[in-house]
Amino acid sequence: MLHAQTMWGWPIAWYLFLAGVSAGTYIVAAFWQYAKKQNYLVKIGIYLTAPCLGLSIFLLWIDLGQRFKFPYAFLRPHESWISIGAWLLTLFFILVAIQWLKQFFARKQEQTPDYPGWVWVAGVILAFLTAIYTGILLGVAQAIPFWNTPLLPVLFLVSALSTGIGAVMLMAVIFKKKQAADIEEGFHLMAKADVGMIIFEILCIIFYLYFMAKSGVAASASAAMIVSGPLAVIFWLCFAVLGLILPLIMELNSLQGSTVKINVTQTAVMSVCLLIGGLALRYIILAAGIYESVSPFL
Amino acid sequence: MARYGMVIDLKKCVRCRTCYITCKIFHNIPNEFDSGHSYSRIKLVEPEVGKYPSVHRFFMPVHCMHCDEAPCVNVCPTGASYIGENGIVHFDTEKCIGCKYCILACPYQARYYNHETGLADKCDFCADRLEAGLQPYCVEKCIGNAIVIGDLDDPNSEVSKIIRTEGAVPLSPHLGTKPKVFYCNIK
Repeated sequence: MLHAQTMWGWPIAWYLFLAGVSAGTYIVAAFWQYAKKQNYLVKIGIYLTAPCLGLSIFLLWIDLGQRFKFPYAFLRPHESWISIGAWLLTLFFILVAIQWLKQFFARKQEQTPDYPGWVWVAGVILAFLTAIYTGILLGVAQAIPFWNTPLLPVLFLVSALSTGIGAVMLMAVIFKKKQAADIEEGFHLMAKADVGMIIFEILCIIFYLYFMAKSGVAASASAAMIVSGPLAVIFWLCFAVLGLILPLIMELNSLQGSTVKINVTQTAVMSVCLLIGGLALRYIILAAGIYESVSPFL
Repeated sequence: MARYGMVIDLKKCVRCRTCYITCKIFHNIPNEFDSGHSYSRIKLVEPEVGKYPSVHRFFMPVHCMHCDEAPCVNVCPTGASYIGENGIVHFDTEKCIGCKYCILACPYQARYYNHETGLADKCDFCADRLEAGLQPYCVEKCIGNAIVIGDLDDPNSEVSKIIRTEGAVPLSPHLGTKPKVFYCNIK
């Protein structure tokens, strides 16, 4: 009687992924703003956040059965995580859209637009909440035991930060201009941070799958589906190898030696791998959501 | 106000699937090819118990359990799902936006997604019929009188008596959802 949910598929996987990426890019931008360094990376981060978040909200909206009744989704933020998410995404989007527009209209100037500190603080809080909430959203769906774990928000947060770094690096090497001459230092620190993220993510996914494999019937079937079942190719190839191991090796490699020379192709390949891994993670967790079985003997 | 509950006597159930079909016909539920099987507001579940060679398989209709602590009501962002005064978990199609969260929240999988309307849907014990003094379709058409509906708060109602005398139990009580559909003679 075990079967996986088919209610939330690719649109929601893309939505969870892009919401995570936008949270990550914003946090990267805010970090460099705070460090008062790497103006170029702040700009890239801000330029990336609003489109990613907008697209993720669009995908969430597309997935609704009754798209034009969406305002009802804001009604119960005290109880429903869809409502909480609707508010979070809206507030975060308003903030990053304003920052995007201000930066776009000030693009001729050397400096990035100036904001009072609380704007960045509010933005960072909203970014963290957005990344975490995507995990809680799945976590409280009671029919799917595989999702009912506090590890899920942690895993999604780490993946959000890692993919955010990947997205900023990718855009930075694609649009590499004169003012980017000093981004080596920025890349060095981001690669270092990402090594930590990836190692933490590897630990999370191992603990997550192991504990699920050792728990109830439905959750262990979910874990088996990922590790050795129909999702194994996506899990091992797209997530484990492309999303974790390959970027980890490439980053460790680039961190050797005191001077960093950015190799455009290598960085681009590594960033794309990070992004593929982030999307694959969201998809396998959704697709492996096996329902609790209905039986009087449970 | 009555607090509606249901009891299903599996000894009287002859597996004719009339409850399923009659529900599907009268509630205009479309043919549904999602994950390969058709849908009605009633699910037909055939759990297997035991290990080979002493395996046993039985058959049970699963309605909405009309839980007192309903997960679907808690997760609904719009308030489309709510518990009425009569204890029935109602569903307001005007408010539903089709986010499908309730379907992922119900541990009994009592809900389904209607692709034609873009809405979730569920059993409401045929609340309009109960109000008009009629029985739900599945109760009325059951050929073995296996399904009984009534007031759980009234100790003299037929449903309360059957639950008491036959030792009827709810499904998965450990989930803490306090279901109001009971089963007796499970074997």
